[in-house]
Amino acid sequence: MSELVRRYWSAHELVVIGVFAAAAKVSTLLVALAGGGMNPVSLLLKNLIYTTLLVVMLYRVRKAGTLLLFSLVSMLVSALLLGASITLLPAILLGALMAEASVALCGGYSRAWGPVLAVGVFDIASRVCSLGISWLFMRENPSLLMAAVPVVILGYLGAAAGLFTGYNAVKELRHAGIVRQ
Amino acid sequence: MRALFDNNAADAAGWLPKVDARAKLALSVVAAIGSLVVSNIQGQLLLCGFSMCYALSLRKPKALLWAYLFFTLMCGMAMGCMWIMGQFMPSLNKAGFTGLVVPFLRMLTMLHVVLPMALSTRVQDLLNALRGMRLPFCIYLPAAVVVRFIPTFLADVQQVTESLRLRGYRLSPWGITRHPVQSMRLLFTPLLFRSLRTSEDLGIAAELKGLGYGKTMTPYKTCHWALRDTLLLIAACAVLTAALTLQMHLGGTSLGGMR
Repeated sequence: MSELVRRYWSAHELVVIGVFAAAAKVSTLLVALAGGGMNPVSLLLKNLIYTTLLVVMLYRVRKAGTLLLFSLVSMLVSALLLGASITLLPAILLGALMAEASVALCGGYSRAWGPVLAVGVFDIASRVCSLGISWLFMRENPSLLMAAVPVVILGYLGAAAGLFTGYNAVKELRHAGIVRQ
Repeated sequence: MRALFDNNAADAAGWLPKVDARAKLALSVVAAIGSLVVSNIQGQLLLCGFSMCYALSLRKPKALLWAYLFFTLMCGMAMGCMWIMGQFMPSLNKAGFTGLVVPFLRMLTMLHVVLPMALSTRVQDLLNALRGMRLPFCIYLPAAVVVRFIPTFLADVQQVTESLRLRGYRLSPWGITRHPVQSMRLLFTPLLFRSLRTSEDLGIAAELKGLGYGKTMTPYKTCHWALRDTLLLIAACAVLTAALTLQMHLGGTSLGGMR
């Protein structure tokens, strides 16, 4: 009889993280394709959906490190499956670390607004860090980066709106008894 | 995206589908580091040339041409935006030839490396590779769930869009642009509920199967690191060393481009 192991995240919580990572990936890809690529409205919607899913996921799994794990898994699968560049991984991880640190400093995930704060900080920090990595790639001609800045800002506006829709979705789900914590 | 389908690698010719997924991932890490560190045009051309040979070994010229077309379109858009902004800020248009070519070569190198990985790896191989990387359980389980859940989620999306079509709604770029809130409610809300239900079902199934309670997992299939994987990584490191040597001899330090 093998010894039982107690883990920080239960298998159930890890499955929730995996399912939401897949849902975020597919739905954002779908909205981007359905909106016809560089459509500003679909760009806003894409980020709004991603942030909403992230907020709902963090209310389901309210543990320190969940956002970091979600980002790590999401980037790993993107790199393996969808051909995303591995260079974005440090930026996303740094953003997630900053979000986790800010939540820890403000009282942890047990606070009512803990998950919303985490996602809010993550959205800003990961975008700033990604722009930093892009600057490293285009350091010979930083003006190329200027073309990407409006797109990133537009995406961030969608993500900021996603914080409110996420919070509202959690309220509805709590009313329906799906999110219990 | 081809990696999402079961028989994706069956029609891919050449030696690339036989290469271990871990080797392909390690190669993309080496390429990322190389393209980031090297900042002179000769070194970047060397990296780009060798990565193109790697991409061509997939023997899928049509897919590569589509990727080039998309890449050209994106670069064209970036240049167009830069030109428009340059009309208002003339300092932006002062970039020289090297200033424009090196960033594009970096992106092209990454494209050459990640495209073959996505087009030549099976889902099962990915799962084996994830296990073979000896990742902690807290990373392996969600990653395996993502890989396994994406096709199911795509089927869910298809069901939702079909039901919307039955009710007279059509999802189109114009429709999404005109009615973003309505489109989001119609598409996103059912998908959120399906995700929650699936996560509940899969989570309970995982707990009932006792996943994560044992110290070790017994693999269904073991992945083998072959000689060709080692040779591929050695070749990648040799190309990176050659690019760095070119940079040192022909001018431009690794941080020389940062201005």
